[in-house]
Amino acid sequence: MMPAQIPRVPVAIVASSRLLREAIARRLAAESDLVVLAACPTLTDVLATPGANRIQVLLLVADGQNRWTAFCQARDVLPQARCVVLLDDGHAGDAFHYIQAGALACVGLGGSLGALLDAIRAAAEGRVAASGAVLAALIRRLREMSAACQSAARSLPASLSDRELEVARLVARGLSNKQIARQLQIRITTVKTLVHRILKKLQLPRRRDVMLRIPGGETP
Amino acid sequence: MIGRDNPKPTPIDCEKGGRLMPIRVLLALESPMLCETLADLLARQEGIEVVGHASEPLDLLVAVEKSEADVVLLTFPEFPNLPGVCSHLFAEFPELVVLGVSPDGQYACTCRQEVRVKPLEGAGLDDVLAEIRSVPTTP
Repeated sequence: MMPAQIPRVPVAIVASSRLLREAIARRLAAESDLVVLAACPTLTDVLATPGANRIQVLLLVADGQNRWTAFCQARDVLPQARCVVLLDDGHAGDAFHYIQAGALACVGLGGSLGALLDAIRAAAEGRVAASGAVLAALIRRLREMSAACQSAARSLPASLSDRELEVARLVARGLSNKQIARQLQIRITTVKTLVHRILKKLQLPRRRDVMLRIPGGETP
Repeated sequence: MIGRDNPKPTPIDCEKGGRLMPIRVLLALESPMLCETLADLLARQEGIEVVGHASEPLDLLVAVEKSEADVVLLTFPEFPNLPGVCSHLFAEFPELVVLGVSPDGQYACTCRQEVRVKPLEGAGLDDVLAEIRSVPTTP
């Protein structure tokens, strides 16, 4: 037994691609400060693994079925786990949504192994990390957002009611209708109506885009 | 095996017969992250040497020639159909083994000259490693 051994960070991997999942798992296992608890095709499989509640870092490869919905589910059922999202370069722009909704790091699948290891370690320490194509997309999105915020600051207060603004802020934080209903103690049908009205008023196609237009949408 | 019946085998032939020559692997997978992770893992395996990677079909032809690879790990965009580059590869390098992986990483197969395609049981890391190990090295 080594006397002063640093505790290893328990990591779980969700990836549809079997080869990628197993290769990453094997490679992470070679790191002395990490331990792979599970490497599964879906989040459901990870949750069924004994010790799932000990997971500190969840590595979600956004491929196949594992995308936004899986991420939101992970955040809800594994609140103690920090999420690192691996995106293919075509979806690098989505990094913004994931980080806004609480992911700690985003790495492009076109990125390097070193960047992935850095991101996992950063997440374990609670730091935000991004690199490569994902970082470039984030910067681009920030520019768009700052422009959108400026015009939104002028038009928003007049267009949205207080209640709508309240709901819009929660939508911008990535909460589901159910969670919003619970938090505001209103019926889910009311939330749906309000969200529908918000999207219509702001002329946005998807609820994910609400965070682009709501200045107070950042996670507290 | 090479050199087995040769009355005076050269030292290199002996090495090959005794499987001391590493299996030379060239990576040509679509996903750079998978490519790098596998390269790193394979480099840690005894008896396997990663001799490079190629991202374009033309690069691949040049890289196989330059690196004298024994096996190429290749993404088959329309798995299990062989990509066009395979016919060129087999024409130029008849001994080469191509290990094809589906883009979603779920299926794998090996292909040899005369288009003998053998599906692997799975596309798991151990399936792929075992398949690489079964490839004979060429002089």
